[in-house]
Amino acid sequence: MFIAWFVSEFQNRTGENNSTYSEQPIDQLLEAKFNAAASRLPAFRLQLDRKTGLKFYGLYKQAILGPANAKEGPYWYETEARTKFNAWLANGKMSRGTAMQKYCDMLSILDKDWDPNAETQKQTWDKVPSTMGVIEPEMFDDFVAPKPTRLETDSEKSWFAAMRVNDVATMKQLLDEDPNILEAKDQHLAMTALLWAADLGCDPVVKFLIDHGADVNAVDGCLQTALHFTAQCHRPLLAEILIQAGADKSALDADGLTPADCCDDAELREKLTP
Amino acid sequence: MVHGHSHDGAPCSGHHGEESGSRVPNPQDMHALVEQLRAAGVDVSSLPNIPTAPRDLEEARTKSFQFWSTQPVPHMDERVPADVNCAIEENIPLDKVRAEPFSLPAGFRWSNVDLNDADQLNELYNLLTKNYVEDDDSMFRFDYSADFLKWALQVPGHRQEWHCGVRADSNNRLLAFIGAVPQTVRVYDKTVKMVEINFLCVHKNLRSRRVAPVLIREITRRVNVTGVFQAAFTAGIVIPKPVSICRYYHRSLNPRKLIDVRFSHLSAKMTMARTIKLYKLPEETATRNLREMTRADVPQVFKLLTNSLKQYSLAPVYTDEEELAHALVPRKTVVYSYVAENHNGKITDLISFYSLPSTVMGNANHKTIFAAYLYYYVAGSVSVKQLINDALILAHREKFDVFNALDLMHNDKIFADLKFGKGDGNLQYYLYNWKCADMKPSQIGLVLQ
Repeated sequence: MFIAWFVSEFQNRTGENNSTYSEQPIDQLLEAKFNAAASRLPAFRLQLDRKTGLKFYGLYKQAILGPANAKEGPYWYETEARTKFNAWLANGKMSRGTAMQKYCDMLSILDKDWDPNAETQKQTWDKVPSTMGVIEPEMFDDFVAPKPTRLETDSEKSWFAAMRVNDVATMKQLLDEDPNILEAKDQHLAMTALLWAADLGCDPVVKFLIDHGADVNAVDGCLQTALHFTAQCHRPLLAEILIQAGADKSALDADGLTPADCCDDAELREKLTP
Repeated sequence: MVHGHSHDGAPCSGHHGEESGSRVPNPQDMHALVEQLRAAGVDVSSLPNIPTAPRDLEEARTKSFQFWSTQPVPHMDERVPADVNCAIEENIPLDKVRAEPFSLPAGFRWSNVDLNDADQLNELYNLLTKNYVEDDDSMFRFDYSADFLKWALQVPGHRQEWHCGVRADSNNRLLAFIGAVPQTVRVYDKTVKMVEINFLCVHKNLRSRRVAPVLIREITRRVNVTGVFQAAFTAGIVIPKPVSICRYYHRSLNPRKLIDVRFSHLSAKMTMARTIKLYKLPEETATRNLREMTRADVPQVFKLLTNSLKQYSLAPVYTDEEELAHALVPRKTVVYSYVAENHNGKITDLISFYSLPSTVMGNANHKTIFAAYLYYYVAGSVSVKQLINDALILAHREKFDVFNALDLMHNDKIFADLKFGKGDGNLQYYLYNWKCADMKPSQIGLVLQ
């Protein structure tokens, strides 16, 4: 009797109860753990194969919203949306709590360093400032990110990744292998490495690209030049370098604005005025 | 005073009937049961998920809860029903409260910190801000200024013995601290005299000596001798048992700097130029007649805020205008408060935030992130969204880099519209010697620094 109680007590705690779906209150700790896992995942997104990514997606939706309603899915011809919806639907009547637990379990397999308890159980009284996650276009209602038009090749992926961390050596190697990569455009915003480097403030990369003959007047989808980016991001040093390399101060973007028009820093604006 | 956690004799009548059915065993119970089963010849390893050989973390968890299992706090797994809202242990008669301080490891002694003494204030500042562990991978540390500490710890009715320090005998260095300040708090329908516990800090040289529990016991004793038996506190760690788990949200005011110091990151789909544009704020606030609060506004703000706080399940109760004045009358680099006054001279709205910068570890260009934290507000004549957006504008004007808020009060509703992003940090709210039903963050109206 006693043992039976003990075992059943334990199975209640650990077992899954999938038979019927009902809105059980979610354990606060589990929710905290799940939140920690969900904010950890983006760092691993690039390493995920498609199947695993979809599984995470499905569990996330299940954990946040509960079971999917098969009648409310996107149309079959909306292929991408439908695939994602099916991943959600595949979880059936799984409870939100179970979905959270599974999500955490999957993350701890994926990321050996992630200690699900450590996130919520830091055994120190020191308060550590919270930090912000990744800034995604989805955070802004007034901005919709364009869909990728084409996918980057593997070497283009490495090219842009190296640009972001100022890894000029790798960029040099990739450029030697394929000179066309110099003006390659990224899959998200169709920008060349020079445009990105000007935007992100990767000074060594800008110098490297100019030295190797990159087009200093290349434009993105909104006709913005590298000089437009330095203007908006207040990067006087890069603006100087670009101007000396022949960047056009009178270039107009899609809104008809010159780099100087886009700049709200008085000193830099003067430098940019044609 | 020894706090043995016992349900018998605890003034919690509404709770006992359900225990046998719904109570989940705590880790100690579980270990005891496993031992009993083993003694009875049961192969415990065949039972599902029984921690026969606890992993390190499990062990650490059990170990650290060994302390909390002696304290009047709800069990980690306890679900407190909605009709329970009461002390866990009855008040101890004052002549029964332990009179002598708890003992410290040899070589250390208790020492009150006098915040009016510039040297001691500076020692506390150094303990709290410079005392980071080198192998800690966190890139940011709170940088509590001396003025901030005085504001947070020298509230009306403060006591020097509640600024409780530990010094080494050998060199007289301040090596640990715990602070308490008086604060009346309403929990659901009960108003309780409490203290807020804050700034618990143990120097890294003392970490292995398990001093934190002694600090907690000692501050409890020093509070108990004044006839106060409840406390409220917040922490990043999870211990038995949070009354609510809140989460930080962040609104970039200076996105370029935040990205440069890696406080936030850009996705591959976002340019810096676009990010700067999206976070750009208007120069002027939208609420008419919004101006800095002054001392003369205190009587009106007292009424306005007192009334507004009634909507929350956990909220401070300001017992007099002096307490409110201390909390809200602006202090440069510490607390910023603004009020909107209508044409009849009536104050209709209040918005406030406090300043708590973070030190940036190992960055060549930036040493400090200037962070504003949303404090108390009352949206009377305008929407919460407009009022908080005005706070963003005002904070930006004061050169803050980021505006932080927890998802408590009505904050959750405005985060998406005002472009707040979810943070990676939780903040747990705790009550000591009190049990009540869990609260959603939106029920919390108490902001602790």
